[in-house]
Amino acid sequence: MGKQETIARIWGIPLLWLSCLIIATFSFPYFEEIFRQIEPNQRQVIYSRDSFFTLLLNHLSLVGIAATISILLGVSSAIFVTRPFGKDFLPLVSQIASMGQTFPPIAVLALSVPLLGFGALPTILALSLYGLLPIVRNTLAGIQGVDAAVIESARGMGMSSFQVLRQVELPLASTVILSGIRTSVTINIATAAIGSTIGASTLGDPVISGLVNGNTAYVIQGAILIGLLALSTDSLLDRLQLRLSARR
Amino acid sequence: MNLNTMIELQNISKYYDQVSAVDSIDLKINKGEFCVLVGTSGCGKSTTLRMINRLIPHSAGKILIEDQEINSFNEQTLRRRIGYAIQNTGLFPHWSVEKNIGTVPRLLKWPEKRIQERVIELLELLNLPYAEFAHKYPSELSGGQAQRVGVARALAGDPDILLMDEPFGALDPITRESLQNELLRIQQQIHKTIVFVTHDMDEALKLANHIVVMDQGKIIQQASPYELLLNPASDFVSQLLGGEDRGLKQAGLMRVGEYMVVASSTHINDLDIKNLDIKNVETNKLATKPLASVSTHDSLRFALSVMLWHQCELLTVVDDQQQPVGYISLQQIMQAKPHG
Repeated sequence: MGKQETIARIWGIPLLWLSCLIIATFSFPYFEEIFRQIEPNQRQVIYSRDSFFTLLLNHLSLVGIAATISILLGVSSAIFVTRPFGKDFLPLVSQIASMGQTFPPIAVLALSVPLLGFGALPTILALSLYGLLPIVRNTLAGIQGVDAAVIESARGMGMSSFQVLRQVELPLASTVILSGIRTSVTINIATAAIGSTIGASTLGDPVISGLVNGNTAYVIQGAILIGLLALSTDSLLDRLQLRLSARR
Repeated sequence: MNLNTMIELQNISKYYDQVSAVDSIDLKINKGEFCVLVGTSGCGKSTTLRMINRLIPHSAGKILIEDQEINSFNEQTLRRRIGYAIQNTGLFPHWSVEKNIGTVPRLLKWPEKRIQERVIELLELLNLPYAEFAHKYPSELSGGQAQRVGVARALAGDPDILLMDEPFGALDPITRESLQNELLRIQQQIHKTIVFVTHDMDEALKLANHIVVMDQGKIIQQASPYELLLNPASDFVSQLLGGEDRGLKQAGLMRVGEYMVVASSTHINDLDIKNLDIKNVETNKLATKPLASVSTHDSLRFALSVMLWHQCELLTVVDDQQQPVGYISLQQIMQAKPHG
């Protein structure tokens, strides 16, 4: 009894957003009448070049691949510059990390096209670069925030540097790191939609196509799905973070 | 080389950018000794301690543990053989008390069952009931409890040597004193070689059997607590000892049990004044009956304080079971000679 209550309390909100997302993905055709009210003069009011489900999957895989790259790269570079052998690079990396935050994602996207052409690849590059920064910054903050006395006693007890990292620094920094990942992924869910402008298939397709053809109904459909996806992911990661910090 | 020597520092120096923090010191610490390094802040005592487990590498000289150069060991192997406790406990906040204490045994790859037995044993040794404390997290402990766990964790791998860097420095005076007493009690059971750093001379006098006074990276004097009190080597040392206050400090080192007059427990309750060799007893009404009692483990300083408080010159001495075993008089205290 108590267990079910806890599950509902912890995962209730993410599950709510997730079910909204799934319902919306499959049910837009049933609301054709409503969308026709918005665009009475258009021949077609439901986006149909691809199914919304296909777009959702493509969007998710773009963000997923990009997030995996930025997590691996971001966490490991932050670990590298906090080790004794990498500390020379610490100022450089933390400067790039904070500077990168001021860079608009659309600019990254525009810059990667000449390098990689159109399609999914430049989008993934732009997303992983942009998503890298919050992760690097938070991993740095998390590791640097671990009490020096704790590290000293870990070393004094005979842990190797790897054991100190694995058993002490990373677990203690994990909530801060996860919050960086959350920021990164949420931003990238929104940013990925811009990938449609350079030929990647994403939930941005209906939005772009609607803007180009003056079809507000398409724009709304894309925007609703992107919004619901961002909300589901964000609340899911939020809960995960809460679980992690509740353990101590 | 003496078989009894556990740790030997030969001509040890530590330089930071040509400035010496520790300046060619020689120190021998015997097995089972409680050695306290004492001095003002920045005198090099902490640096000296940390050079023993190589948290700080020494710049010159040799450090031997049981005749072996410490640099001949693998760094981690060396540290797992040496217990280490520090001022801010350094407990791992994301681990339970049980997991914290089991750190070194896990690093030494003890079997799970042996680790748990060891944790239970240590919690018991430090008066922390297993059922109540094992599953708590460091944030749920008081300062004194956290420091006990810190000491338990340092002892967990059953090291021969225990290094303690101002472990009780951040505690309130009452908690500090009770932890000092417990450390002394534990040391009587386990006989480790302890190197302890403090800036508090009273703490040093109370705990040590070998005091090393340091100043500006050098050893000024090393001696037993009694010797130090009787013959401070310089003004600096006697200043650290508190000048004229030394009398009380010395009395603080002497146990009532060693200076009392033993009397059979059947007679003690109605002490026969004729049996007492105190001349002024009859002239002083206050002293004709012992009004208060002290324990055999109490110090003469404490006995003196009890006498002042109750305005009497005679105290009953009781044992651990609160049974009277003798008495002690003001005159006996005045005539007591330290025999360190």
